[in-house]
Amino acid sequence: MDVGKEFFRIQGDLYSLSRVKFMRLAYLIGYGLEMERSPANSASLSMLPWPKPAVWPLVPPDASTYVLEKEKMILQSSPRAKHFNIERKPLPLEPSFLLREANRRRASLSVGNSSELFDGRWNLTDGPALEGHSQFSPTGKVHVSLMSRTYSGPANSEGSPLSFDRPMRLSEIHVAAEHALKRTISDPDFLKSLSSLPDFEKKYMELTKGAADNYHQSWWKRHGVVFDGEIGAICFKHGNYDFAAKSYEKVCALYAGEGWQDLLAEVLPNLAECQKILNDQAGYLSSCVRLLSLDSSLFSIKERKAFQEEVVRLAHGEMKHPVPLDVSSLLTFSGNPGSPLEVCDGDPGSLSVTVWSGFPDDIELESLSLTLMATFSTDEGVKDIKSSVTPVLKPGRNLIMLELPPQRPGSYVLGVLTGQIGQLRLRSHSFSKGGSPDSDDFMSYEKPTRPVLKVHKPRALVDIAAASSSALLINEVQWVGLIVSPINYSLKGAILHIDTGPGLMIEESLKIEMEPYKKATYDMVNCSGLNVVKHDESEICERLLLENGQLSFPDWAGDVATTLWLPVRAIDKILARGTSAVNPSRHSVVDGMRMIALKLQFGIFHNQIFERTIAVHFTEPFHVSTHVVDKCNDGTLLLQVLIYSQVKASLKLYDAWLDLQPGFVHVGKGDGRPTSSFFPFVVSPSSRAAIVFVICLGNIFSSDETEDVKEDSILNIEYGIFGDRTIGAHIPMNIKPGGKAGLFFKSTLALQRPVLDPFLAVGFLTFTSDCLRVGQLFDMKWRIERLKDLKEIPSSLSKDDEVLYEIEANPDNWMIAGRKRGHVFLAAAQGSRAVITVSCLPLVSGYVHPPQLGLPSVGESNISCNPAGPHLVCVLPPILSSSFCVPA
Amino acid sequence: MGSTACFIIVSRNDIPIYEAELGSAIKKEEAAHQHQFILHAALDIAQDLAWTTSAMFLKAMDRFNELVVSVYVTAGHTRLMLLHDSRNEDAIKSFFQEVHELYIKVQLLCIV
Repeated sequence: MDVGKEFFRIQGDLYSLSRVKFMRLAYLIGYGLEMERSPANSASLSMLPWPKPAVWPLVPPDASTYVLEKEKMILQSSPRAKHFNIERKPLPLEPSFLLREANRRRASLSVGNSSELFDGRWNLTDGPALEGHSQFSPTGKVHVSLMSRTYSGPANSEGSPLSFDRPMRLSEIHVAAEHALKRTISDPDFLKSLSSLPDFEKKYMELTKGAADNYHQSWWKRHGVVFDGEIGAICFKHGNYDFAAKSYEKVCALYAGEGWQDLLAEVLPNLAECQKILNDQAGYLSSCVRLLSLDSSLFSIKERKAFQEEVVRLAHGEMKHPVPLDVSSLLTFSGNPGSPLEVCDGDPGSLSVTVWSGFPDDIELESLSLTLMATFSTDEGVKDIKSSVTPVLKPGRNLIMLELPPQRPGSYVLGVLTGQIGQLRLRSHSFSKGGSPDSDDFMSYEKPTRPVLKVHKPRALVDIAAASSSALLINEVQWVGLIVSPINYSLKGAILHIDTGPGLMIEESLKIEMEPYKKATYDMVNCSGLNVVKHDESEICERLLLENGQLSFPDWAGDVATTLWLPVRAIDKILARGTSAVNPSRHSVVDGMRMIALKLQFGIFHNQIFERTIAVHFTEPFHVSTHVVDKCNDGTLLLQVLIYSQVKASLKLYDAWLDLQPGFVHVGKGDGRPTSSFFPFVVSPSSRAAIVFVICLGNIFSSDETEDVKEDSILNIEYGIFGDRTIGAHIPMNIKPGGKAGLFFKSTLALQRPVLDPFLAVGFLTFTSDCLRVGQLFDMKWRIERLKDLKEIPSSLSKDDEVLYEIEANPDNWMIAGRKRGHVFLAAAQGSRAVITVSCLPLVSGYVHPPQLGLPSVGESNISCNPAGPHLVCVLPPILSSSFCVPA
Repeated sequence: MGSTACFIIVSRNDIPIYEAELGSAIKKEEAAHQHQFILHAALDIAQDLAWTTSAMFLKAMDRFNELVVSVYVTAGHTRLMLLHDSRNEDAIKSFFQEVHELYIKVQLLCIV
């Protein structure tokens, strides 16, 4: 044990005991009205018994003026009103009524009194207080003999000027006590300290300070702090508010720190009063909040409302600058139970939080906001979210809606609650446990990690796809289906912008249809009849108007996948072209592709945008190719026209005819249309059919020169289509489904006449000699034979029976003796022959090209070179000849 | 006047966690404050004495006129304090021991 501290403790005890005794004596004199009725003083004095003299001292004979003064003092005194009008029964400083006690002691002694006298003796052993018996002796010992002396008879009563009939008044008691003390106290300083109120207060202060200082130096800190509070009370009384506030703060800190709320409730109003007088607004507000935070049973509702009114008054009052105030003990908040609010990236929302108010009355805030803290990042980049309306917080539970601007993806927890009343900036860090509204246990100082908001990463919210991937009819009004599927997101109020690319237009005479999307089986196209798939009558199928290229989604389409049917027409002015051996290339798929640009604007504030370009394929219903099946001896050609269905729909052919190009004619009478009994016949989806036409070669130029020259043949087909718009091509909307469908298909076909159509044969006759020598003349012979009669040949190719011929030879290698060009007569009959002979002289030796015979007036395709002429001939050098030698 | 008593359990951090006014005396409002004050002041003494002895029951360690403060310190430094005016030490000791047992049981329930 630390001896030093023990010494100070004992000294503190002595000061404390002296103080209590001093206060008791001062009370008897009449200074009790000026004493602070604090818990410490009350505890000390209210349990300290009154002195027990045998007979209470009497009032001196000439003390009437003193009595009057005391009376005046008693009457003039009024208890100091507590701040906030807190009404409390003042704590007692008396163990029992002094008036009664004193008058009881004054009465003539009886047996009853002796028991009290003897009882007093036992109480002396171990109590800290000294009994009133010390009044007779400073040493404090009990004189039993003295008591017995008083027991024997009414000895003291003889000296009393007052009669026993009238009890003493309080003022008289005080005067009597003062007089008795003045007679017994020998120490002049002590006497002086009891002579006047200022002297009393000075001594009282000295003893209290002594006790406080000593206790502070000992282990008994609490005792020291309590006495500091008593010193503070004296300072307050004398206007030294600064020191009083400091002292009260120490006491409040002690009681608050250890959680002794009852004791704190006694002292805190005093501290608040000091702070108010000192104009310490922040401190005063803080004290008011602490008073409100105390257990509600310690103050009445009226008093608690007074605390709140002070806070609000100051907030709207004289504060010049914003003042922060921590109200973590009065306002707590939590997110609502259950899963956190989930919003998509970029979407705003509204968050609901619960705020518990510990204020006794409704409190109106000018603004209320909460911070959101992201759990994924450590930086304190918090965001304030404000309440949408001016909140009025009722005592207890309040549900507040906060407007949430778009946030970054992640999860968030609640941070700090802030509010504003006038210049007051409220701040609360406390989270509620979120228990039942009736539970008192709504305060929790633990930070919950439960997130209240989850913002999803940017993700696909909607998808738009084409309803069918197969091709639609080109140049006809067709439905294009678009499947709009929301992906866990509402499309309520969405607006779709539609922009068709080049070569595609939306039929304005028709409305856009919208229906719920059915993923399951669609009815297959009924090939046998004319029925188109009909939708169930009970399902929704809404017709929408396209205005300025945009349409608004109806409400029912917000949360379900829907199919939008757009009536479109793809334009292609180029006529279909059939393929054949002549024209094998097919057009590419890209030719029939058309684009639809879509932009969907949706979301709560139309802040989400989805863009997609859909490619739609259009095609002719048929692709045509031709094939010459057979060629008859009489020149008749069997032309097979193959018709391929390019759509996923049944095509019914009602009629087909072939407009032939010049140079070809249909065999037989009529226009070559197939027999009508063949029609109608059905071509199944993606399958093929064929029509055989019998044609033969004809004159190239028609008699009528004014007609346009047709370069190609054209196949015409009248057909009908039976399809489902959900699968592919289907009947155009402008065509009635019943009856004959008047759809026409045209395709050009390039028929080429046979390349080789020889009617003249040119043959090379062999040389007469085996070797050809330079400088040796020889004859080259060609024979021309007519293969066809002249009249069978079209007049454009050959006009008469004379054939023009021409010899071509390289002049460096050959010398032609004779005519190079001329006419030869060839009889008109088939088989007639003519021989053309040309004398040639080779000029160089080696392998050289021989002269060639050409027929300029006849086309190459009409000449058959049979046998063909030699490609190269061998020319030997000349024989050695003396003709070249110069005679000598 | 009947017997008066005030019982408080103070945690190791000097925070009162349980309080009960006992006794058959007429309850006075101011008595409650006084009792609180006396017991609070007695904490200083209890703090001193607790380290001087290995016993848990510190008997009557403080007196305030007629009222006596008895303290029982548990192993976790929780103080069971009784303000009373009677002298029956044995009864008070057994009372403290029973309260201590109940207190442990309540703590265990909280943990579970």
